[in-house]
Amino acid sequence: MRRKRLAQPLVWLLLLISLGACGLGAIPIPDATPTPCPGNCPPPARDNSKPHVLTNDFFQLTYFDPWSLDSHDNSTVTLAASTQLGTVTMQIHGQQVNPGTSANSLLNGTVQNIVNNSSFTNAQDMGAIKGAEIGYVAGAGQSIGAYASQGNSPQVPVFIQVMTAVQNSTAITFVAISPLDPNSPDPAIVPNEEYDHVVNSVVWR
Amino acid sequence: MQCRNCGRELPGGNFCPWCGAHQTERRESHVARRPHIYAANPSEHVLHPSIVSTLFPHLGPRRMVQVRWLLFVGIIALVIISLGRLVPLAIVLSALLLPVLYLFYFYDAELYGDEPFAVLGGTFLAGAILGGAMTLLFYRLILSQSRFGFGPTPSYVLLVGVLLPIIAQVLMLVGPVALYITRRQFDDVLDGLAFGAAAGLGFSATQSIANAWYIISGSFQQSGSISAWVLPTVKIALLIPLLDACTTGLICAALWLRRDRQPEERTRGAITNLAAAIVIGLLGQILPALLSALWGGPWLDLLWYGAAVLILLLLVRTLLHIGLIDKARPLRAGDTEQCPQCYHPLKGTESFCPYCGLALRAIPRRARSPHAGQEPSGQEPSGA
Repeated sequence: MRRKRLAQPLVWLLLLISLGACGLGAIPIPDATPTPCPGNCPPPARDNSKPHVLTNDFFQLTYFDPWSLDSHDNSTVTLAASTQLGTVTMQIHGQQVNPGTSANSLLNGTVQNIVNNSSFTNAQDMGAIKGAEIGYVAGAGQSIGAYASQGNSPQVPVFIQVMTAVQNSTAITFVAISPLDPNSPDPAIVPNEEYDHVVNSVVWR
Repeated sequence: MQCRNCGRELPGGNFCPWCGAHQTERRESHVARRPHIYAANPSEHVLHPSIVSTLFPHLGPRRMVQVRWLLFVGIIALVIISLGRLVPLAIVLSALLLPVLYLFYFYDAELYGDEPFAVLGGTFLAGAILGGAMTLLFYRLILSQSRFGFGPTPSYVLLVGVLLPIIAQVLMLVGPVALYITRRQFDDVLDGLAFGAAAGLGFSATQSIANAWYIISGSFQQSGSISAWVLPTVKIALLIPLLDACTTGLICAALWLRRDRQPEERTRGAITNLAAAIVIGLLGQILPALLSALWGGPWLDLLWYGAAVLILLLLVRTLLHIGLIDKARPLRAGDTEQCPQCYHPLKGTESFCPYCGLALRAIPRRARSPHAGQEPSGQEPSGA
């Protein structure tokens, strides 16, 4: 008799769990792709924010809002920008290398470090970045996809872009880690253009 | 022959049927509390790290073996599914494995008594709703504080490692505490443990599903390494639910011990103190979350959460054992005619089986005699 009475709460349990699923709307989803421009769209608006210039032992770079300086020292600059899916972080690192060191070998080492990084799950090669260059010095680049989770918190996909370039005995490595999908057709959520602004602003020293 | 602990006349056997003291134990310090013989399963030591005999103490020996096999086969099946990279399926099944097993336990042991709606609503359902609600409420805030690959920000560490575990623990206790206040007929330490564990399991199920929503709503079969999802699956299937079940079960067991005033209070050690249990429960939530936020990753998560679960399991067992020994009281007369552990005949007025030492309160209601109902004819010895 008692067991029959279990059926009623089980039905309520399933019903309420189903209703709870509706609450999943609280999880942020990137905005939908905008309608393509019909042909008479206005020219892109000029960014009126002030440039921020940073200089260290290896390079000088310029960045604009909404990027903010997370940290910097004599060889490394880390910039961050908040999004609804988490912080996009860029790190530009300069170093002395032995003569003959190629951008590809430096890239492979950096990618291996990222793939072995314990905070990423299922890190995968997403292909080479064609035309990779830093400060207009041709180099090598690679995209990596992974899932990230720190602690008992949401597990989100992250998209990692790595580029390296070598000039004389100086090498610069660029690493960007973002929860935003660079393959999205929506220009509002593609960070690649932002990365281009920064890496093209690099002046080798 | 008199009991070496309470002094009552013994009918025979190795254990005192009223206080549970081990009569044939040589070490005098081990006679009364008998730490080498777990009260809910005499074939195990109190410090035996067993999930089933700790969180499913009402199951008889045969059912315990069955549940162990179900759990083992379930974990193996989940590992195989995750090796096949059917990640959304692996995550959803992982999140539901232990809660479904525990629901089966409630059903099999009839833990809900005559009030299935109130008990299941106050435990699994309350935990599930509050777990999902909390995760969704803080989702955007957590993401906005996240910084991937370059180390967490201090605000993220404080949020994910300290604040959210405290809020989660408080929310997991809401349902069981409501039952504690409104349903006084559930007065056993084992009721407290079961209600707390069930609320924790309901909470962890919806929290894990909501946390993995991007993965669940993604591709049904992920690409990449076949072993990449094994550790996250084990974490979701075992470590997170066990952690929530242990911390909430520990606090609720200590809370329910306060309700049971028979026999009178006596010194039982710090672990059975409610304030100590709350502090341990909160630390059990905070420490692995904090360490994982600072030094995360699949392997380190396994270490942090695994160590926390192991320690908490042993603490829960210790608390249960002490509670069952010190709050010993007989079942109703005729409740049981045979010990389900060793199958020796019982009079029905004992608190412990005189032959194997099983605390008879751990017998499931299902196994009790349908003819039961009379008040016990024997009285407990004072100070036992």
